[in-house]
Amino acid sequence: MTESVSETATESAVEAVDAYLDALADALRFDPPLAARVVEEVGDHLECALAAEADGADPDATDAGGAAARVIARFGAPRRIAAQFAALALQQQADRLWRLAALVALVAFAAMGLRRWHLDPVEMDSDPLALAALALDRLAFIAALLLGLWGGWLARDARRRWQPGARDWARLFAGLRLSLVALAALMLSVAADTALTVPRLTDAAVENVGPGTLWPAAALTLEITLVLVLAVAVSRCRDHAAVVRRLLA
Amino acid sequence: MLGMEGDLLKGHLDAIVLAALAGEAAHGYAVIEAIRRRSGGVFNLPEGTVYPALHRLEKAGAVNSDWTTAPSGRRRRVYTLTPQGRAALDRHRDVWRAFAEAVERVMADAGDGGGNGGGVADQPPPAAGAP
Repeated sequence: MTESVSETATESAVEAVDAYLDALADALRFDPPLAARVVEEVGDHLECALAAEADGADPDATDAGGAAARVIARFGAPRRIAAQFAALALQQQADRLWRLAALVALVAFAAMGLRRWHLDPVEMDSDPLALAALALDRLAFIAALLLGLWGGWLARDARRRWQPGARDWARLFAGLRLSLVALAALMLSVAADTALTVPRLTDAAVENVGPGTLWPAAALTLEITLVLVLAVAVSRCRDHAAVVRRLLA
Repeated sequence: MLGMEGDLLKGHLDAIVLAALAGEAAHGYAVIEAIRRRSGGVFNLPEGTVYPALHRLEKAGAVNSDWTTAPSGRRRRVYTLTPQGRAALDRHRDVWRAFAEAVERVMADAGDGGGNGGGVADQPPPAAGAP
């Protein structure tokens, strides 16, 4: 009889731990590899904690369900643990995002230099549309640079504390919003740039296909590709920020 | 027994975790047990907070980790201090000793009635920098 009660209690403990691990995995579903690692690690922890509880418990061990509840309570709510991991992952993702943004800005700047070096300049007198595109290209690039720097500074500032508070999170989210605006400005700049460059490249290619056309073409392709990669990175970061917001709420 | 949880420990968790790993490699549960044992039960951490801290320290290069197999057959993540982590721990120790000595002197003066008050004890010690 005692053995049966003990078995039932142990089963209920295992069920409680499994339910906890499921809840943790669910809260961490934004990053499946991280969720798998954390769930395995926390599962080992809870098993150790339950074994320690059993060592110090009554030999009848009919309180396994209660022990599981105590062990889980000591560990903390799944959402709270997931929020700490999500926050850490978001900060790292934001760091990678700004490093990528810096690379894109550098490539865009280098591509501008290559075009200036190899292609004929835009004829400003003849075409007001070209003049407008050139102005848009430059202004949008400068705006993207300034907004990106501002966003990066806000996010970096928010990372100073060991455990960010509400104000730090607000700064990080503001930094991410600014990065979105900066990305939009950068895309505008690259679109204007493409509109200006493609006709010049075509003209140059008609005369002679060589390094003078291939380098600017390759640079433009790389520039567009990197901007698209950056757009995907910003979108993922935005989704991740939404998860962190939900977990912190 | 005075239990120190939450805010008082927050700023020092990284240093405490690094110190717990200084002797030998350990898994998360063993780290928590070592902290509890070495603090005489005073540091009763919310256990779940140690894992994000270990993860953060690993990303910062202060600790390494590897999967091993526990006696139960379950996979177990074991953490080891890196030379970078050891250097960070030394920095944390220096900052902490200087802070503790200063607080001790101020407190001793206050106990003798020679101090001029002040809230030094309310202030956490300065951070020793990222690990």
